[in-house]
Amino acid sequence: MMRTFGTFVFAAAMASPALAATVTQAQPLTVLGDVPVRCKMSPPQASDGGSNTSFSQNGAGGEIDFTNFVDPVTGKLAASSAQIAFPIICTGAQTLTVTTQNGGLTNTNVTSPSGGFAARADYTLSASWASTVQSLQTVGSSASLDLSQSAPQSGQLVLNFTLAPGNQPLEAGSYDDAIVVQLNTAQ
Amino acid sequence: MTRMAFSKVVSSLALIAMAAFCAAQATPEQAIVRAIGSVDQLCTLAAPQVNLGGADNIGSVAGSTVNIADLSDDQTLSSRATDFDVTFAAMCNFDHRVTVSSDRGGLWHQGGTTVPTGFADAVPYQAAFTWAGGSNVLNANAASESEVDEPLDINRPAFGDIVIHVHVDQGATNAGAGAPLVAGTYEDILRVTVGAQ
Repeated sequence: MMRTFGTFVFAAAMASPALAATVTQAQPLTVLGDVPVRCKMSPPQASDGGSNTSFSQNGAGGEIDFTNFVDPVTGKLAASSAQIAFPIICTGAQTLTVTTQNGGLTNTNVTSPSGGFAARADYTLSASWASTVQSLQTVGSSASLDLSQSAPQSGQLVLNFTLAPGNQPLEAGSYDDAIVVQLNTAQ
Repeated sequence: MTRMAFSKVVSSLALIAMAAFCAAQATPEQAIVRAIGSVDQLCTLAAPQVNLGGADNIGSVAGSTVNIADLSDDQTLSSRATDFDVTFAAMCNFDHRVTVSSDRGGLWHQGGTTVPTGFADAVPYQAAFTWAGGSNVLNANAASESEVDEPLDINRPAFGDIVIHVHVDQGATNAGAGAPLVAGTYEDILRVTVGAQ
C-alpha cells in the first residue's frame, strides 16, 4: 500500500514540467506544373516596301507579286526585292526551316527554254531569326535554310528576297516558287 | 479536457485508498494526497486532402503533391487559370497560430534555363485560408524567389479543417500579364504550420 502511494506521488510530480511543452505541427503540399514547349507563328507581314513588289497576306501565308518582273524593253529579269516577316514565339527549343520548293521562280510550262531564253528567275533568299542569319542562292532545285534554336525565342523571322537583273530574256508565262516556313518544337 | 477529467477521477480514488489504510493503524493519522494532472499544449495537423470536386485545371494528386494539368495556355503560351481547395484537419488545445508559407514565393521554373527578355519563369498565385472563424490570404506574387508566409492567430482552442483555396489568375506571370512561360517544370511547396503564437 505504501509503495503504491509513493509511486502515485512521483508520477504526479513528473507531470508538472510538461506544462510548458508546446507541440508544433507542420505539413507540406507540393504544387507542380509543367509548361511544354510550344510555338506559335502568326501570318506574315510585309516588313518594308521592297521594290517592284507587292505583298498580300493569305491565311497563314501570303503572296509576293513581282509587279515589274522583267524589263519591258529587254524582257530580262528586272531588279526587285521584297521583305516579309513572320512573328514567332517559342517557349523552348525549336526547329525552323525555310525551303524553296522550285529553287527559283520557275515557268513550269517550259520544260526546255528556247535558245537564248531563260525559264527560271533565280533569287537570293536571306533569312534571319534570333541572331541567326542564313542565305541561299536558288539554282533550280529545292533548298533549305535551317534557323533552329535551342532556347526560347520571341521575335520575327525575316525573309529577304533579292532578284538581280538578268542577262537573258525570260520566256513568256507564269513564274512561281513556293517558300515553305516550317516551325516545330524540339526537345 | 479529457485528461484533466481523468486526473480528477484518479485523485478521488487515491483518497479513498488512504482512508482504508489509515483505518488499520493504531494511532489515527491524517494524510492528504494532492492529485494533480496537466494537459500539454498540443496541436495536431493531418496530411493535406485535395478537393478535386470544385477544382479547375488540376491533373492529378499523389500523396502530398498536386499536379496542375496545364500550367500554360496553348493559345496564349502564358499561364492558365487554376483553382483548387485543400484541407488540413487540425486541432490546437490552446491559443495558437496557423501559418501558411510558400517556400519559393510563387510557382518557379526549376531552373537550368536562361530566361530571354519577354519570357516569364514564375507564376504567382494566392492561397486564401480559413480556420476557426478567421481568414487570411498568402500572396505568393513571384516578385522574388524567396519564402513568404502569412500568420493567422486564433485566441482560443479550435479543431476542424484548415481550408486553403489556391488560385492562379489567367495570364499571371512574373514578367507581366500574358507573358509566355519558358518551357519546363514549375514548383512550389506550400506549408501549413500550427503552433504557439
